Amino acid sequence: MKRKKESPPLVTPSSLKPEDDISSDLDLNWETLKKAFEDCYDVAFRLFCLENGKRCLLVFIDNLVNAKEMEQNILTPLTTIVQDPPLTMEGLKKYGITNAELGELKTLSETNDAILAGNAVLFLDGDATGLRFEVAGGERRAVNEPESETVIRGSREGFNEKLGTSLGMVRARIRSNQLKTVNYKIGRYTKTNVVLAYIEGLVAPDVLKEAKRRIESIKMDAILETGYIEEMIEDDSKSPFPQFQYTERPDTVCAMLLEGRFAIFVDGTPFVLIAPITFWQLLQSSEDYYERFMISTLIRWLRYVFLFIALFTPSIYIAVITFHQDMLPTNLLLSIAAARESIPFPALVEALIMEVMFEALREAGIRLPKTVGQAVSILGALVIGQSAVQAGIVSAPVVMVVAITGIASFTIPRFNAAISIRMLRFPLMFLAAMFGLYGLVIGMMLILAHLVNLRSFGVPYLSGVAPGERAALKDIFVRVPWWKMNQRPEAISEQNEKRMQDDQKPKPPKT
Amino acid sequence: MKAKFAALTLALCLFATGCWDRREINDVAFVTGIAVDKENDNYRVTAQIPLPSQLGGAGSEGGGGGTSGTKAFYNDSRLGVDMRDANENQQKSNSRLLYYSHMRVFIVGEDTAKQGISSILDVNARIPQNRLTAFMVIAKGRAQDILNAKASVEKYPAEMVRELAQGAMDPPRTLRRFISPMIQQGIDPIAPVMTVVNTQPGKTGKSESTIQLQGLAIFHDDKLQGFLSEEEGRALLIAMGEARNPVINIPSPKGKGFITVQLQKIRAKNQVQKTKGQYSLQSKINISAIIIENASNFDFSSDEDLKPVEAAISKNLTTQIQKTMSKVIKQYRADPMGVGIYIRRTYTSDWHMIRQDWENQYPKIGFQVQVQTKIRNTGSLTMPLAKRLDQMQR
Repeated sequence: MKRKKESPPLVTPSSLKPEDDISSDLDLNWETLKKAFEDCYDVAFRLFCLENGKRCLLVFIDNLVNAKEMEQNILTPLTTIVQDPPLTMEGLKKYGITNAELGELKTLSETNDAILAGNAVLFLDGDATGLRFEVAGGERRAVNEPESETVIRGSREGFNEKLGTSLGMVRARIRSNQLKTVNYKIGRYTKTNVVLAYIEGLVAPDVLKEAKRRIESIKMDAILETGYIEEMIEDDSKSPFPQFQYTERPDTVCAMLLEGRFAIFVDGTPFVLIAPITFWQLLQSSEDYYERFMISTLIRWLRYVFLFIALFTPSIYIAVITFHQDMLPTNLLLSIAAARESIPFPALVEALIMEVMFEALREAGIRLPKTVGQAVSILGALVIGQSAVQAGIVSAPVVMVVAITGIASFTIPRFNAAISIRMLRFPLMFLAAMFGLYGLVIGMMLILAHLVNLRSFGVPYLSGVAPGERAALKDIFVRVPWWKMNQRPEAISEQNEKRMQDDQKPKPPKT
Repeated sequence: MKAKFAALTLALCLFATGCWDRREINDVAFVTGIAVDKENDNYRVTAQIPLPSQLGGAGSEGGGGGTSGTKAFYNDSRLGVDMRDANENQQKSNSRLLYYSHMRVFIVGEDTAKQGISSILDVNARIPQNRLTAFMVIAKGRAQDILNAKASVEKYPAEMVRELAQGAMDPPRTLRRFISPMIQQGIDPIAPVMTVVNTQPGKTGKSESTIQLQGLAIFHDDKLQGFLSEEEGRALLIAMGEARNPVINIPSPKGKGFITVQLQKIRAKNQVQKTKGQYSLQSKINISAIIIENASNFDFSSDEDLKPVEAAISKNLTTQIQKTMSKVIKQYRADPMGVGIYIRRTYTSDWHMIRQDWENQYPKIGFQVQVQTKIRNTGSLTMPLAKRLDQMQR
């Protein structure tokens, strides 16, 4: 093996050197910053004088600050207060400014970062420090219903792109100082705020340590979405299965935190990453815990059944049609044979055409604007379902198989899990076409072996079932009523297993 | 790099196979029924293959089988020294691979059955594609004709044969159930008999050929001994406890006309008794029946009045069974009830002595039957629907 060349560490490009201190000469500071923000139309330098004639410079980025707040809390007090002897930074800090959060800056590169993070920075002539005011604002989307995870019963609130808002939603739900939020700034250019949230005492310490290590080791230009982080820190990047769950529901994040998992918030996206996860969790929806336990259990089983249908139906169809005609009841066989009589393609090609068409249709439906999307689905249903059969290109049974598979893949509540199932059915189809059921079984074994091998932050992917765990089973094949769910999943939260008192089954009082 | 190359080569190998033993559903001809007739020393084997395109399934262009004149099935018949030989001859004139896993009925002609059928049964188990769950049926006359009947009700005649065979007795005679008594000493197989008849729609209607159940075929070892009529066959099946809800009608014990009853639960308890060195089969039959038609003017609206009806049923059945059994034992020398097996179980030491001479001993067997009937239900009516009270007789 050739040894890889050590790549030089990435440096943040800036004309400001980290050791440059703020000068007491206002003009000099102005000059340096002006040069640093050359050709930056949206950076505003506002020079003004205090009552006593002392010059001040306020630097901020137009669209990142809340102009109204800035005017009320900074400009008005500064330009109206009269004080003698001449104002100093200390004086301003103590008496002048009414803004809630402020801080002192020593170096120019600090200043640079503060401005870019949405602060307004004030320089005072003759003073070698800068004053930073947190007046972040700018337009952001309002809190909306989480579109990718709608529920009938449950919170209608979803995260939005503003990190603070999202964190606040979690904080409002878990009012405990044990909920820790550790901040990281990642991205050479973006300096994105990334927050690792967990509950002290519930999260496994070694998992937490590893999570911190992995997050700290990310060195790249930009973090624009949680996907960047997910791919940088997942356990097995070659697995088709996701090792993180993402959600835009604050209640989901809270539930996960309370089971001892950690969450990663990224500024600029409503999605939050959750790990460590298990496979079963990807088949659960938050509503499972809100609706009564019987229907939740039934719906879980429905999902398990349809998971298999989504994964195996096309390949079983191909295997039976090409190899195992003796497996079908005679009448069913004859009616399939009748439908296939005039079809020019072998079963594999037939199924592939339809499956690929279906995937294309779905992709088209997602990307298109909603109004056109409807037209596409009508067109797709008509063209593929009806005409293709009438034209004798594909047979009616295969259209049915594809439709069932499609519906089945939509029953999986987590989109990223559905994707892996959708992908895996294609290799299975090839295996079935070449080796029949034998190939199908081999494919299944390979998938199972991979799943058993897979880990998410050290937690076995199938844990609960393999390795087996009694407490976790309560929440996998059934969803036991809440008064019975007295333990956290063992694999996730090793310490502090109890989450409620025992024997809380409700019953009417004896009379 | 090397590993990648190896993996790539292996992956490409998969595609080079071209799915070597791929055999699509449309490359296969499904044989749903086989009929065997003997011609001199050769067997004439007729295979029925439904034509999917004519079955009128979704997406196919063909219309319904019976109505348009084009048949929904295709019969091919070839001679061969044995079954497989004949099948191979058929394959030569068939572009699709003959596939036997969906063979549902195995029909043997009368003449073939009389000469012994053990040699043609082998193929049904030797090749696992064939299934022992196919139904065994004996044809009165030539077996071939059954597969050529029109049988418009079903899509193809073999299906009709299958449905009829399934309803003929309980449990139905699959090849496995048929062969199993053949290879035991002290019991003989039976099978349902079918024949082609013409429907009688009257002068203005058009007669068609269809298939009809016609009693039972009685075997001794692998040779057909003779047939039992519909009525006799039913009696034998009742005695064996294998009748499937048979319907019988009896003359009303009082008044005139007939009463029709359906026998619902038949519990037959058979045992062999030895008195003075003479073996006899004692059959105790408990029947629960329901009345499904009262065409007589007998009023049995009180439970007491049902007694004579029950007695009449029991008497009727006793005579029928007794008559049938003496025919089976004395005339056909066949042992469908398995008397030999009962003796072997009850008088094991005797059996070892008489088994050598069992062929001659068997016709001397005595047979007594005792039928007890209980009417559970007289239907939704107590009185005949369209008769006045004064027309009735109690």
